[in-house]
Amino acid sequence: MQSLTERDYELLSSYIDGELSDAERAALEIRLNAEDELRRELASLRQTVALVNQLPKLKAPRNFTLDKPVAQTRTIPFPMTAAFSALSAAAAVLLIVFGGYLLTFSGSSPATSAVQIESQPGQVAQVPTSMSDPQDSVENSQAATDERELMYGTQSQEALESAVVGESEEPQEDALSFAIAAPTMTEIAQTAIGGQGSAGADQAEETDFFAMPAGTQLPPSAAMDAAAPMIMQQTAESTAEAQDNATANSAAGLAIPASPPSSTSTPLPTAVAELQTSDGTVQRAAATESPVPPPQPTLIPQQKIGAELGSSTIGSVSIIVGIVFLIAALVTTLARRRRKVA
Amino acid sequence: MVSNPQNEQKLIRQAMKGNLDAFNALVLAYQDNAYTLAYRIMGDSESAADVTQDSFITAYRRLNTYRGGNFRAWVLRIVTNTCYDELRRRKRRPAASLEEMGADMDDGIPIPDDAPSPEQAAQQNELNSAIQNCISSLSESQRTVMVMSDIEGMSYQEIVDILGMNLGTVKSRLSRARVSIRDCLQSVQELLPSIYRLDNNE
Repeated sequence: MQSLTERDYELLSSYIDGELSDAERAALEIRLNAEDELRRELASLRQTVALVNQLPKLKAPRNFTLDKPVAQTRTIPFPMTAAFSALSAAAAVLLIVFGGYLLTFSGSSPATSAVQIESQPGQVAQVPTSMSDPQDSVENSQAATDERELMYGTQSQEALESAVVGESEEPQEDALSFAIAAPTMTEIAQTAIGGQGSAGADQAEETDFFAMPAGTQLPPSAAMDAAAPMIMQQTAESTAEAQDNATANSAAGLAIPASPPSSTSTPLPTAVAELQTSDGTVQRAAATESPVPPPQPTLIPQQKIGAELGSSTIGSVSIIVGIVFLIAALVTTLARRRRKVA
Repeated sequence: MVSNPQNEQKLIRQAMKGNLDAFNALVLAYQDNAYTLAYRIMGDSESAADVTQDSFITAYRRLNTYRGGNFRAWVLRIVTNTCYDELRRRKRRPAASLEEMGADMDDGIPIPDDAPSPEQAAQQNELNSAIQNCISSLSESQRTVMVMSDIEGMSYQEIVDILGMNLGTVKSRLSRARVSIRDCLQSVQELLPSIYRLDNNE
């Protein structure tokens, strides 16, 4: 009996129901004439089908007609459907994740951190936007310069200085290698101090600018736009003397602090007043030599604070709404189960 | 009342417009088919009745999804799906399911269309119980195909339409179901009336 394959049983079953094609039926009948086992199986299957077929057609124990109240009241409102529960749960997850994301990242906004440019050239740095004490900025700039001197030695320092004062048409490679940001920044500083900064540049990519790796040179116009707001901000805070000192200390970009990331008051080298000429030399242009326009008030801090408040508010609201959706999903699921059990 | 297809289509149209009486006429026409299918799949009369009622309620609510064709097949498809839902629910709640099954053991004898004499009825019930037990031992998918084919008398194509599976799958499942039932009945054939005893060729 077990020598027959599943395909044989399928053929026999379909043969009983008259569902074989003419060719299949003819082929099977030839086999049936030749194989006793196949015939026996066909007979037993026919008997089985006959037995099942003789089961009586049942009569419904009652009428299943609907009356109006049943037809109407059994209609499940959408909030009670499984689809609603599933959608609510999905919305809850999305809103809570979105809200958590907003809250997390609004708390660590770059607006509250200071410049954190590593002393190693090419490292990624962060951008400050907070106001800082000008005196601190001078001290920090000086400290940074001293630190850099220690790290890179006098040779590099000399090379830098020569590059700064324009003694050499081609500044030495190693000097520029860690002073790479300076020309660009000084261009910006000069532009800003000269009152050419664009007031509408507060959306400039400060972070992107400062985060650029060494060797990257921004197009002058882009750099100008990017740094204008910071320059203005710093200018508003700094005294002329502080600017002078900062300029001196931060020449050739050495005002970039090497302080640890915990430092929150490190200033930007905003008072740098150097100009990179078209032939590649760097000229010093002290702040005192070009009159600084009166500090321009800026709304950047308020805007940033507002943006932070907005994002944290949206985050909180998202989480609350998400929790409401989650509760709705749970309640409707439980209600549905209770109804089914009842 | 649903004696001809034209009348049936007319009732369906009226029911789709919200005419409950028209829908109830369709219910009366197909409730025996629906109940029989539900009983054979569920294995007890109480569950079968519940499933049948739920199926007609569902059918009424989803009349707008009916796209023409064989209305009986459409109704029986709903019945099949409702049975599957109920069986799945039982699997999730085995304790409740056992209670229900225990309660149904006593009054599980369905009402046949033509009531025979008491002796015939007893013999028939014995046979029916044996067959039903064997049917109940099949997997859900095999059981459904076999009930549709060998009890409801549907063609392969009708089963394909109702269950939404291909013809090869229907043939394969039906074939396996029949072999399983044959083996099951051979193991309990001493319980069967002699005229129904299967030849044992082993």
